[in-house]
Amino acid sequence: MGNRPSIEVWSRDPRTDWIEEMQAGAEEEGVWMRATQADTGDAGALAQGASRASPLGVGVGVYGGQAMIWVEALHRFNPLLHIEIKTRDQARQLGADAARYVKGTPLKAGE
Amino acid sequence: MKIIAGADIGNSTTEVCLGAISDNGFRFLSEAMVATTGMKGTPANAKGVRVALEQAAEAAGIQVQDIAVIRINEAAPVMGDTAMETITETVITQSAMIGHNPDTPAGAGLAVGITAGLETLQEKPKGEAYLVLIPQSLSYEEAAERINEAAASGYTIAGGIVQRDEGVLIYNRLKEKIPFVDEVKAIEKIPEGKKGAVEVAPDGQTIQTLSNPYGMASIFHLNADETKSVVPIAKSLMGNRSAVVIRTGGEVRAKTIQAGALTAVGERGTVQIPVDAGAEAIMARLSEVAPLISVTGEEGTHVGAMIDGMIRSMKDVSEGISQHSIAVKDVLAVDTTIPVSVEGALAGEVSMENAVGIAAMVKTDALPMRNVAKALSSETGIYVEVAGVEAVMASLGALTTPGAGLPLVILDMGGGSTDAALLSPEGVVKSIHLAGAGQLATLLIDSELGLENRGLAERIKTHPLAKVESMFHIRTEDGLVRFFEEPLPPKLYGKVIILDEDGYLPVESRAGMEKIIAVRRDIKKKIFVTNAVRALREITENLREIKSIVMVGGCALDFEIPAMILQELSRYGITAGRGNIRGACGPRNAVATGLVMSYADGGTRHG
Repeated sequence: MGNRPSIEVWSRDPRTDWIEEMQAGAEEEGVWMRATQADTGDAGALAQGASRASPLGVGVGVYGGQAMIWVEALHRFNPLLHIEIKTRDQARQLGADAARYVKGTPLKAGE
Repeated sequence: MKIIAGADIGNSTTEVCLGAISDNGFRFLSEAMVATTGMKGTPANAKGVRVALEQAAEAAGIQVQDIAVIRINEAAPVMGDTAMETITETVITQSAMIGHNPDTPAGAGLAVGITAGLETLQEKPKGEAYLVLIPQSLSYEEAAERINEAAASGYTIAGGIVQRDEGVLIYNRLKEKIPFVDEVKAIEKIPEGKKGAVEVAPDGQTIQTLSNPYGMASIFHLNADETKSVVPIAKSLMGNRSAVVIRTGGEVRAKTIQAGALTAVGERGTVQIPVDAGAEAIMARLSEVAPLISVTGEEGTHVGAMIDGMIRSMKDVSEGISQHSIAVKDVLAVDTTIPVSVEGALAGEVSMENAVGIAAMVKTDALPMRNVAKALSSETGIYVEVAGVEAVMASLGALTTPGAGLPLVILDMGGGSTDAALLSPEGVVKSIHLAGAGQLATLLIDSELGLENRGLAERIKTHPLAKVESMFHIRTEDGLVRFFEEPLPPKLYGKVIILDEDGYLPVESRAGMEKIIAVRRDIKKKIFVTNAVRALREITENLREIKSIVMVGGCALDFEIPAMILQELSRYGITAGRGNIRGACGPRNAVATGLVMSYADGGTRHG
């Protein structure tokens, strides 16, 4: 683990399987993703904080069934993507898209 | 003051020009352009002409009723159309090969073993090397766990084939690293107990063993005849990042498709040309019997249906006034490739098959423009006359381009045909019509890029490209970077886009920007440069006597085509370029301008 440049995921959601799916999505794309449990804030605040903490400038916030990707460089135009997570596949795809953003390749959400 | 209108009714556009004759002389007033209403040469055209006249009148600050006479052209009785025949086909039998290039393969190296489902591996004997098959019923964690356990208990697992997009996830959890090919949708079709090989090339490279017939011979112990039979597999896998080959007894077959034949009757004989001989052979054999009298296709083929359809449409329009029968007078064949789903594929493989794109041109004696004149006259209440052959009018109009001189060749590149005319200093005009123009270019771009979207292909043809590099900037194909105040929509991120007037359109194609540009330019060259040269050879004996070549028509507006033609023709010391009618209209309005001018001058002979 340690200090690899990663996408940061800050989650207040007790459902760890969604976080695992996001990490699997990013891992398959070859980008590191680190997840931390959080105590305060809604999905947007979590995502913002995560993006600032991430050396890649990309963060994911998860709370109340919502997940969003926040990209530092987008400033006030955030979030990049915002979904209501209902399935594991959605979580997997969100993680893959956060990674694809970092890689500069087209997003699965754009297909 | 007398106001004259010239109206040019083309296959796609209707253009008008207004001029005024007074005691002071002659001057041009305005012009307008609309889409042609109905098929060229039918009374339905009248409506479009009237709308264009209204627009031109408004621009000139007059009323339509102020126009004294409308001159319409003796429209060229020419129609063009296009068709495509695919002439090769690839079939994989008995799941012998997988060559789809997944986005994220894992590991690098060559793995040889016997295929075995991972779920039932424990039933198999140790002592063999295995290629494990991992269906979607196994999660990536389970798969990795089982492989690690099996390896620890003495099994030799050489490589893996995965149904889901999880090759990297499994690979990362293995104690001993092996190559994986993933995203194999139809994994259940792979038989167990067969010898196979998985190869994944390192980053930035392509496979070396499975794309080499001798490589496969070494792995599978093939003799010379058997090695020959795997050549189609090697060819199919060339350039791939990953591949799987399984000795199932099946094979990869590259077949030629029966695509029928063209029958060409010419002044120097008759010839039958099988379409699957390819474009070069087709054009060579056609020129053997040229000048062409009639070309027909075979029943049941796309080309046959196209030619029949065109002749029928032409008959409908020119009913009763043709002396001779209507026939295809020119054909342009172009070799192309088209992505086709491979029959028997396990992972959605698509193979670039050979195809021939064919444009044909049908010509008859004349179109019933008198009917159009009558309809237009009753529509507007103005006197209408049919004046002048299109080629002559176009040449007169083209001559108004500043810098143009005689002898002048006008090259009119439209949608259905490429037309050329030579205007000599004595005022004599010689003209020719060739198949192959804008529509063929769009068809070929559509098929080669596998777009299945003619509208998108048309836009790729006519607009430059850019790559979306971040949410705030794109890099255009000439290397310049453009920034935006607002972020681009996420669905454009990372994509190649077309810079269209209405916005940015994503190009959904596996091809990168460089590939799309190469395809676009290559197709334009194969059609327009070829036809420019063909046209010149037909209408003049000595190229070097020509002073000016003026390009007009829709495709003369293209951002690349005029430069390509100039490049080719500059060798002959000819000035060639996009026309600028009256120094104001660019390559548009040549015929309409010529119609107005010839009224003022009293007309020109046609020789």
